[in-house]
Amino acid sequence: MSAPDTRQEAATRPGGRSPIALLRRLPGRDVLVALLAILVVLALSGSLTGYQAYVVTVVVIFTIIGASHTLLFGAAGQPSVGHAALLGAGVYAGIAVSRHTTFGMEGEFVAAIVVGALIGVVIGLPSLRIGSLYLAIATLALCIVAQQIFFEWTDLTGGGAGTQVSPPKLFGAVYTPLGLLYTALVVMGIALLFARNLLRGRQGRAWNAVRTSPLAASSLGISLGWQKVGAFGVSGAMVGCAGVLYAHAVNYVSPSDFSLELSIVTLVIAIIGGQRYLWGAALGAIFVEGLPEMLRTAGEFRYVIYGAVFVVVMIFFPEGFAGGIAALWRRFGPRRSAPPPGPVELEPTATLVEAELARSVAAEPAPAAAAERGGVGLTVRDVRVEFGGVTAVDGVTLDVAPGTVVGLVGPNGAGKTTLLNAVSGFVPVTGGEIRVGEHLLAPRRPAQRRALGVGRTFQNLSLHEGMTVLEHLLIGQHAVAGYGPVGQLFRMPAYVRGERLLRQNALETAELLGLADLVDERVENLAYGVQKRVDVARAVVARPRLLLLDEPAAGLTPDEGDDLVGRVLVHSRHVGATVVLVEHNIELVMRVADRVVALNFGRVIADDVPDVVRRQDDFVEAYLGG
Amino acid sequence: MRQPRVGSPGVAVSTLLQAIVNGLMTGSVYALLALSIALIFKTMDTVNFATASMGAFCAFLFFQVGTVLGLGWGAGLAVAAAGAVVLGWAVERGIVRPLGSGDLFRLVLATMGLDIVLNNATQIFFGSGVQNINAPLPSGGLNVAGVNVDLARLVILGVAVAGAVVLALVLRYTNLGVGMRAYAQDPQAATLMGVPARTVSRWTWIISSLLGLIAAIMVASVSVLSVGFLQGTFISAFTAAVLGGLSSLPGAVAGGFVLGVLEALSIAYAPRAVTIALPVLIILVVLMIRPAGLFGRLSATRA
Amino acid sequence: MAADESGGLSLRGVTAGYGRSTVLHGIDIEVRPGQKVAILGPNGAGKTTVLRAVSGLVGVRSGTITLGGAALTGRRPDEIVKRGVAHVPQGRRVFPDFTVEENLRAAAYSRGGRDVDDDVARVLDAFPRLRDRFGVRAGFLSGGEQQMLAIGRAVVQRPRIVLIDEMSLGLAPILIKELYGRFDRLFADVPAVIVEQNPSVALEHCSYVYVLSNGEVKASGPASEFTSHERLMQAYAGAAD
Repeated sequence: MSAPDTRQEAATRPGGRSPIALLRRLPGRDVLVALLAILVVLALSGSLTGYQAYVVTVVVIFTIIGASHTLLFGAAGQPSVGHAALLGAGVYAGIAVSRHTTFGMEGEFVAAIVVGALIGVVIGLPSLRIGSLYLAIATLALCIVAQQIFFEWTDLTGGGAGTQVSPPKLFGAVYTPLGLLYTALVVMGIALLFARNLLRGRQGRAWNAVRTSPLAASSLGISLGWQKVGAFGVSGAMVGCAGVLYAHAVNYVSPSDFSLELSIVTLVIAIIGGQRYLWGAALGAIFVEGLPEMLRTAGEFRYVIYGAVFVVVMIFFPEGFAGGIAALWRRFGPRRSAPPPGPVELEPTATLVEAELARSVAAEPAPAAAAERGGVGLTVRDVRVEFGGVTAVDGVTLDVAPGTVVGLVGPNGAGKTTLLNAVSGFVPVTGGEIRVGEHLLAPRRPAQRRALGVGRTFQNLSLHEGMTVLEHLLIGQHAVAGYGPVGQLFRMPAYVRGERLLRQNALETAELLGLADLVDERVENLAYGVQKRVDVARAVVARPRLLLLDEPAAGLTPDEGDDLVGRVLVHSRHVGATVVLVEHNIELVMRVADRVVALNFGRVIADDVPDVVRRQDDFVEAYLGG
Repeated sequence: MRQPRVGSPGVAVSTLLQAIVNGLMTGSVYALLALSIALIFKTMDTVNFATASMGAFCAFLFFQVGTVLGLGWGAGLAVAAAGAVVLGWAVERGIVRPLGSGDLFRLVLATMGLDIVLNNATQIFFGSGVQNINAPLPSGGLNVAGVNVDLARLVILGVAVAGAVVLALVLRYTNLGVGMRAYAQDPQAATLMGVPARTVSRWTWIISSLLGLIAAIMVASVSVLSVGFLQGTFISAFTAAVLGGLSSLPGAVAGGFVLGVLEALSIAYAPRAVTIALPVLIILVVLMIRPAGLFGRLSATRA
Repeated sequence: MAADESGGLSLRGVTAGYGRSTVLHGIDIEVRPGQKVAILGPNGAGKTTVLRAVSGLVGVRSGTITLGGAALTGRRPDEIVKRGVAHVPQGRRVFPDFTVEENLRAAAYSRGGRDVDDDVARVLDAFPRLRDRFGVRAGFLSGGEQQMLAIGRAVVQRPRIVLIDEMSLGLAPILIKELYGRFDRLFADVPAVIVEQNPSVALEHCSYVYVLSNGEVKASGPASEFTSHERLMQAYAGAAD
């Protein structure tokens, strides 16, 4: 199991397909390693005492629960302190099945997964409205409520006295503790495999995008609400599953088991293990559930040692055990010893742009883009935006014809970015209307506006930290991926085909923007100018029909700025996209725009072809302060 | 178990008043511990989950010096206060500063680890027995209009109010207090006014630790002293702080009293399950309607 | 020690940046006692970073910064403030929950919050609008009032040098004019570094100009050399290659 990223697959380019490479690729090396680890446990299991088998089973169960946090917290960034409620839901759903039906664990698992997912969605609902810290508190509250419900539902749970769990049966056969361990290992293997499949590909990228930059994610058509609540549902299903195993492992459950402390322990497992890595969950579970057993010889000091180790790990391994190991591996492991590249010198010449463009024109257009080729117009009518008594946009009217490039200029604070944000849906419009083509934007959320073909870049680089350039280009194509979560879960042909196309398209765009040599670099290691390119590349990779560029050249050297804007505009003209370019570098705007609109104090002070605007008095005054 | 709800109007009114009075007294303890939590959150943007074990450890020091060694209350208090100062300082120096101000959750988890360490250290040093600290508080109670007011709890209410007032005065009128409040609003601007980040951080943890100590002694003097005895109060105090908006000190105090009264009312009138779940249900409602808490404001400078 | 170093600010070969990126590449800037110096340049040129390097908010990787001959490099921001650097940051950064009065008093933290009454009186004389809003929380002030307050805080700090970042940002021209006028009078003898996006305003109030681009000084000279738009545009564009 590996990080929720696609690094290894990313490294494999189309072309080099030796049989060995295929062999290495097909089942995934991470799966082989995980299978090996499971087999080792199986081989050693014969010599375990009953109690040791129990401890190992508990570690396995908590690995599953920890991994559910890897998806929910590590990838989607949603902290839950309500996982004890989910575990309880799974436990009692299983007990209900074993009591009222003739099914064994097979039926219990189905019921627990369904109930766990549903309760997960309920616990996740507050995430639609509140941010991470308050979400943690809300889930904490729900956890306490759920525990009270368990206490009161005496028919099912036995109330404070608890209830005995019937011995585990699977398809009619009664299991021993060792048999339960085997079942737990198999269930863990399947759960982690599915979790890995979800994390690699569109779904995992969407979660990571929501965590690292919600603003950018929603501009790419990723619905924040669905992604968060969906992650809670998947997480709940995994924990529900673990609940069935838990009930049979401990034999006797009481509502007092499903306490707030348990919830916190599960989150601690994920974080101390390394919440970005699925295998970190196993390390975390061993540390939290196994280490106190191993430390028995330390007597009464064992919990002091345990707590101290915990604090030290948090200080020295901020990304948990797995993060620490991965960092060491990157540094000292074989093949990864290459240091991160220094600032990359890009060769910015117009001929280069032309040459690369010729190549990309020759290439087949991506099917997604073919379906929606051509730009759409933008119509802004008397739009006002106010926040807290300040009028940032004060009755702006402008028309952008399909397929044209319009420059939007004006001094700082003139309302340019606010206007873009209004088109993207990030700030509410207090008056007027905005249309893209014939579609009125007002009722649509930011993520829905992507479906109309609106794409944008960000002045302050809303990049996804920890992700590679290639991943950014794949995230950029979220809306046109051509497969869904189910296809991804089972790695169906649609997924394989879709990923191949996305990758191909991503690499083409990378080439066009001069990023081809950097696709596997994490964005935080790149120079500012290159990061800027990534931001732009992410916006254009899915070929938006209306592209909003927010100061693409800011912070770049004039050469870099010219080059970047040049490349994007050539690309846009090629696909026929409409472009709104907000830019401080007036000379650049004057050179590339078909039309220039100048704003000052939230109003339009000039709107004409560049040469006319350039000579207009109030424009010069606004700019140079006359 | 349900209490009878029907009765003569007089009984009903006095039951209600009694519940409110009881609630205010419990709430005062919540308020003080909530102040300790909110102060950390306001300036440091994190929640200290070792609040309870830090306070409890120092309360044990107080008991050990004052009662077991027989040196008296004054010496006990002095040693416990010194312990709280040292503990607050050590946590800031040893955990908070090395962790840096990056990730809220890492610091939260580190304080959870500290909680485990301190609880077990308490047990090792002071044993797992249940102690009665025999506080020199007045016994008996007043009967005002059919409502029983326990004198010991009244003193505690007074101490809590005094503690909150002293904190307010320190924050408002000392230079350090002004610096701390400025830092809480905008760390960078405060730095540019010459407020040293380290000083603010250090004193925030020390003051918070002292507040925790006072709350711990208060709780111990009306119940008992044992390992982990403050955990339940901590959950309630945390709830109170959330109710108050987490970063608002007046909010924390008000939240403490509101929660105390709500708990007392539900004990008097509602089934047991509701009593336990009611506060958290209220939190949920508050979070959904006013994510910044009843008294909190969404400040532009905070994410 | 040379006479011009007695109260002046001097940056020699300053390289600074955030994380892995370098923003300033060996900057040299001199501010003589009493002199007002403007730093101009396009967005992202590193103007703000110059000020942040002086006040210690961003670490200096190489080079030295001295005030009156004593090194500022390597010191913590609060120590630098204590040595007489007042930095009025971009976006005013007033304390929103403090009243105007509390904001001004907080600025005297370095000297224990003592004897601020005279300074406050000077601020209120300079900005009568703040007198009307003395007990109002700063978060409720208009942008212009907040900028007055931010300048006022610098007055209370009694600085040996003032750094001010984008004073004119988002303000109406008439207000900009007024603010600069007051600023000149309040800090008549105090040297200042003025970062501006609006060149003509800055040129009017400064005697010397540095033009920054891409983290390097591309042009510098007396303000009189830059008064024509052409010369300035040339400097900007010269920054271009």
